[in-house]
Amino acid sequence: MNLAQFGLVLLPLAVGMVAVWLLLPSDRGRQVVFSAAIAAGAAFIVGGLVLLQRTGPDVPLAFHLLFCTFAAMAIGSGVCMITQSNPVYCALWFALVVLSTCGLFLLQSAMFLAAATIIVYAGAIVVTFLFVIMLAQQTGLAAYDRHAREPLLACIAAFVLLAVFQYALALAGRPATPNAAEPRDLPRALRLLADAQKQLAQGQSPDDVGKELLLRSENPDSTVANVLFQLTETLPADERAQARTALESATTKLGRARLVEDRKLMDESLAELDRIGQSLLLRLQGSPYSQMQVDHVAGLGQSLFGDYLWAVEVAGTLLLIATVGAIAIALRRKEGNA
Amino acid sequence: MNPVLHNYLVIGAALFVLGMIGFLTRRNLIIMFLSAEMMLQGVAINLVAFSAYHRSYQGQVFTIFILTVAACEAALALALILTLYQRRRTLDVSAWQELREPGVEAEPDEVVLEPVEPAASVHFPSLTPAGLEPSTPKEQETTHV
Repeated sequence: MNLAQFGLVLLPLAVGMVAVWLLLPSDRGRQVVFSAAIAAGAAFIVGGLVLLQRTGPDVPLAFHLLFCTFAAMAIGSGVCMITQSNPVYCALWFALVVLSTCGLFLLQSAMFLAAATIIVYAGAIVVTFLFVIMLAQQTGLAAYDRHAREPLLACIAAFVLLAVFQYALALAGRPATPNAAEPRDLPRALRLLADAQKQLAQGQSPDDVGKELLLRSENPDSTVANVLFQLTETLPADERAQARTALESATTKLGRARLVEDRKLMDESLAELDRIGQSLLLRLQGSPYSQMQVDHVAGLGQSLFGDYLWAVEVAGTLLLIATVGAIAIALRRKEGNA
Repeated sequence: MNPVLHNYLVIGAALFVLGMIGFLTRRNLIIMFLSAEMMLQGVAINLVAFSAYHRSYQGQVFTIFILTVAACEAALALALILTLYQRRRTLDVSAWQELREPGVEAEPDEVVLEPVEPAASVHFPSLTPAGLEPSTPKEQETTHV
């Protein structure tokens, strides 16, 4: 998405907000059929935009279709949730929102998080649900459920906020400066790096490995520079600074050589990069770096209980305090003593 | 920007904004609470998308903390809703207008609607009672809520 498409998105956004406004319960009554048609139109346009926009060759079609399904489910159930006048249905629609969100989590390979969300929210939903049945279902549909407060103003505010979000995203979606290394290259670069380390471990000469690394990179400048920058992450601080300075000078030289199409300078800087890479690979041979991306749940646990151990303790204390507070608030007092 | 990341951010923003509409317009305390939870879901989607984009676990760890705080919030919110309901026998937020700032006028509802009784024509299936019905004094009011 870029700035030109931004204007295109505003229309379905406005239409969707009108549909939400019509669907919200009010004394006019909910014009369900009419607004459902409008909402379907908006969903169709947005879905078409998203489907057309579709991604690069590295995103499989199945992923994209699953994403569209879950996203449509999440948005649709969200709209139904806020527009239902019966609180029981609200809770059920919210459960569907949570389930679709978990599907989106799974697509981003956050399995543990998907499971945890289902468990936590399912518990919360069941409790909320019981409360709704106990408190609100005794006297039919209450007046306050059939009349939303200021739906038009809220929808206008929401439209403006969403448009601002879209605008910010469109600004961020402008093409980056040509020299900046694409983060998209990183997975591929890491794969190349892992292969190179394997070959080194099998006893091939660093010369051959480095040359192959250069050959296999589609875009030698950014990929190799990315690999090498990633490699320097694992070095001790002083060595890292040194290696990065060398890398930067070599990359700058290469960029300049490409700009003026100086073949000799290009070869020279490529050789320099190659040399730096070889020394780095040698230095780091046997480093567990390539293992980092393998285990999702194990890595998550390591991060949670390693980097964020203090925060975990604080969160546990927070849970305890919240439990105590909830009991203290909900405790029944004698009549007149409240 | 990566199109996958972009799509996820759009979905997260949409969920957040829908939750905002629900929180601003609905008057039922429980629905307002659910809308706030939906806003949290939108933020969680953003964090997970960034986590996958940067190939780091930080976003997921943050989302776990969001879950924790959401659980605390649910416990406290339900306790508060229970207490408020016991005081006023209604879930309407408008019943608590006296909590407004000093010097601000109360905002009465534009339209006062009567509650709708469930349609009498709807018959739910029921079991034939078996055994003896225990005799209870009719005047005794139950206080279980």
